[in-house]
Parts: sequence; C-alpha cells; structure tokens
Amino acid sequence: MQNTPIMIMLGSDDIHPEMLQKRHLEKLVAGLVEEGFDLFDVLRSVTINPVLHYGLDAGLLRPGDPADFIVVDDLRKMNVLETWINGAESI
Amino acid sequence: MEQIYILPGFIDAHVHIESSMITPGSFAMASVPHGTIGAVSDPHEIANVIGIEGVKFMIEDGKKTPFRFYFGAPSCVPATDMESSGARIGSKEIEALLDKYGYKVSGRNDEFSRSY
Repeated sequence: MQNTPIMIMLGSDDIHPEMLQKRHLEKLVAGLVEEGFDLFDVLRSVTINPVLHYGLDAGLLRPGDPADFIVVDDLRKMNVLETWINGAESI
Repeated sequence: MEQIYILPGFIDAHVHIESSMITPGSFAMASVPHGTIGAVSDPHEIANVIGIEGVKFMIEDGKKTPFRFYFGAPSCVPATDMESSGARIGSKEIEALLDKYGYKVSGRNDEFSRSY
C-alpha cells in the first residue's frame, strides 16, 4: 500500500459469523491507520479502488452518485454511527 | 458539538459469503452496522456444492436487500478433480450466468495453482 496505493483493495475473503458480529472493514481500516498507513490510501482501498476497478454502481459521494455513505465519530477509531444505502438509512 | 465525518460506504472487495455461514440477506444485515454497503462476492463455495442453482440463490437472495451485492461467475468449480464435489461449472454454465444476469466479469475470482 505504501508503494502503489491505487492498486490495493481490501476484502475479508472468509469472515466467520462471530467475527462479523463484532467487526468488519471499519476496524481493518482503523487498524491500518494505527499501523501508520496513510488515512486516504486506506480509505481509497475500500471505496474508490473497488468501485472504479470493478465498475460498480456504488456511490462515492460524487455529485449525482447514489447516496451511499457512512457517518463515523473519529477517523482513528472508525466507530460507525450511521450507514446509508441509496439514500435510505440501514437499520 | 461533537465532530462527525461522512465517508463513502465501504465495499468488501473479495469475500466468500458462504464462509460467514449466513445467507446474503443476513450478511447484509450483519455488515451494515460496520459501515459496509456492498460486497464483491465469489460464490464458488456454494457453486462447488450445488452448482449454478446455488449461485442463482445467492444472487436472488442478495437482491432482496438494498445492500450492493456483486457476484462473480466462479472460475474454480471444481477446485480440483481430486475431491468429490457436488458440481462442475464450465464455460456453458458461465455463459448462462452472464446471459441471465448481465454480469460483467472483470477477471478471475480465486484461482488455485496447479501443484499436483
């Protein structure tokens, strides 16, 4: 990620249910930032990079995009307060 | 006033939902509280068990939620001829999947190296 950040995407591969209950990508992002990786490189790897690489229809907060976004409290802790998909809050 | 940050939602770029032992719908429900809004999923595990019908199930179940599921056409079914698996997905089945669902296949999902 340090050398070629635009080539990196993050994925769980195999995530077991007891893990998924506690955490998913947000804690991976927080952990990488804690390790010293650039915040925007890490965020890019779970947003821009997969969307552009695969040509996905998920929103990236660009004008005209579907309203897919999250609200977090802290860029180091990445506690997710809200998740919105296509303009509706996911409860 | 507390500070908050708005970010694009997160995409799991490679995941086998079957390993979570829950259906796509439940996977969506479990992952959205963690900020995940979509997943690029390779359904080769269910495909290895029951073939195309399994892949179709995953796709149809995923469609029931607003979560953005993107399923790949699995390239390793079976992973090897040395196991007793439930199904085989060859070029005909892949073509059928692409036709029916208008897939964009951007590359291989998992590929197992030939070490035998």
